[in-house]
Amino acid sequence: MPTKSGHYWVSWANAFAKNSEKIDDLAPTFRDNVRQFVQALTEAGATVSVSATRRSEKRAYLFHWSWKISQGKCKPSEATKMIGVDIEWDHGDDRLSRAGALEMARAFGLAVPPWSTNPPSLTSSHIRGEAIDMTIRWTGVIRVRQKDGADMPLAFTPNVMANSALHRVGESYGVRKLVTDAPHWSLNGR
Amino acid sequence: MAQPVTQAIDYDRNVGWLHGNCLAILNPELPAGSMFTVVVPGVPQRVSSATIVGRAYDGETCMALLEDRRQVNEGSGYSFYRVDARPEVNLGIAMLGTAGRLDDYAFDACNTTEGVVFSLKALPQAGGATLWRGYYYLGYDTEPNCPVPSQ
Repeated sequence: MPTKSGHYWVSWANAFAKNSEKIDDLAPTFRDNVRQFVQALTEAGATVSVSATRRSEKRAYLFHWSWKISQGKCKPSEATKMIGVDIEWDHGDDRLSRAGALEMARAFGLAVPPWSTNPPSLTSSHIRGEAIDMTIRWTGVIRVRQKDGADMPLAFTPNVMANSALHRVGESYGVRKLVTDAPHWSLNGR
Repeated sequence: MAQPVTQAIDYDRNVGWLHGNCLAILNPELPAGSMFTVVVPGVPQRVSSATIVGRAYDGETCMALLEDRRQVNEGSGYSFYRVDARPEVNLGIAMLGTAGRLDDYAFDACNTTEGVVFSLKALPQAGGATLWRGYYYLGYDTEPNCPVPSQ
């Protein structure tokens, strides 16, 4: 029996569709790349704080459709189904359907830029287990071992997006920097 | 003709971003009762005012501190404040009174892969320099519409 959209699904997602912060939850190839990169960084004296690895596809599904329906970007009946998420987006009344979705979008803390027509994504490199969000810090200059064994001197810069030497070290391990989002590294750089 | 925006203004301490009734700014010393201007970029650009209520420390009162995004946003050095904004905005740029006149600036915001970049620029006729930039990590994936930075 489906449960109508609304706050219940926020509690449900926080219990059963959580994102992971564990490197072990990444896709095997990328996981091994990340482990080696992080090991090289920590051995050189850096600290690595991981904030996200694999994200829940079910959570993304709830984000996507609650955003779209609450913002009037689609009809509730247009929402697709997802196995394992028995939600009823269509309350049989557009106003109630939108209110249920809005309750979810607010509780999830979804951003609604007035200029944007883009909802939260249904798919991503995080959902595939091929991305990690992490903050890397150190003091001064450290020497980090690259995949080929050569040491790379790395000076700390507060703006990680500008630290191309760090990006090169990551790339040697198959962990590529996305330069628009400070914490984001992935298998393909996107 | 627009006057050049002075470079003496400390934009980091006087400009921040909002998500709902929560302000993020690189300034830990804003007292309750401080008033500021809220600009929602876009066409049309919307302008309103808001007041600092007090500090925010958790996701209950500040969406930028929800579990999925707290670590990164706090790690960026921001201080977070509960605000009374009427009408409430979803996303916006906050300017404290000492930052100058709104007419001197261009306000913008765009989506990155998993965040929002806010920016404040001088007007084109005053050079168009980026004077302030704020990044809000959302902790979920969106479709980016920011220009791709040159490598």
